[in-house]
Amino acid sequence: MTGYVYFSVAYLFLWAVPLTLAILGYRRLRSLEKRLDELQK
Amino acid sequence: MLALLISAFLAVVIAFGYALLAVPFEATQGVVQKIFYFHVPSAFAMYFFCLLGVIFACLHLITKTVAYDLKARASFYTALVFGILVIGSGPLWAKPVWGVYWTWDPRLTLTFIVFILLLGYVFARKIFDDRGLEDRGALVGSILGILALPMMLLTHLSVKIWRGLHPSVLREERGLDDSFSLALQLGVLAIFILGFAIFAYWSRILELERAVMIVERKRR
Repeated sequence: MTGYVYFSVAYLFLWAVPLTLAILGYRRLRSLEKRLDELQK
Repeated sequence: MLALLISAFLAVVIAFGYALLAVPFEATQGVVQKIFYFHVPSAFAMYFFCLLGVIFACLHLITKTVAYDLKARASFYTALVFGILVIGSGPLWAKPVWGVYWTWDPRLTLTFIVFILLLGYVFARKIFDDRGLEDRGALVGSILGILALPMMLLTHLSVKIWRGLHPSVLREERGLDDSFSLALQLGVLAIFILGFAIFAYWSRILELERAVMIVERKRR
């Protein structure tokens, strides 16, 4: 059972890495769009 | 763009939940075999985005269109992300099954070479960009990316040619059990939606950064 729990945490971490990158990418994208809008005003 | 992120999130939740809770344990390897549903799709994504990067890099070299260069860069960056995940997830399975985290098996070695070439691409672009030599960076990066292509092909064929330690489950005549196969398909779907999200965001971020830089230069 302990092995299963450790594995689940490691597995969750593996999936979380690309998902977090996608979320961060989306946030960066939105902030750059705002910045460009402000610069073009 | 937000729809892509929501789709990626839902696909990850389904693939993760199904692999962890619904698929039975493999008889000999136990729970650790479930890495397969993440490791294999990540490897597919690494190959796919590397190939996409090579196509965009070649288009940029032929047409000199900046948009292709930005897409090539985003593709190789995405391929590197999945390369890190492949190299990171493999040892988690290898240690309990092989008894070692890493061995210089042909497929592992070739995957490592592809990973190093992708890393080389990122460093080459950064080094040349910092010196204002974007065109040279694109050329050197493209050469490194194109070099990764034959390595990927060899990686794919290595299990048959050299008969290394790395398993080749998908090529067995009996194939996978239905529930194992569904978990793999869900994993591939989730990883590819994630991959396209990362690629799309990175492409747009690179375009916007370029646009911001041009507007700021004009203002000065």
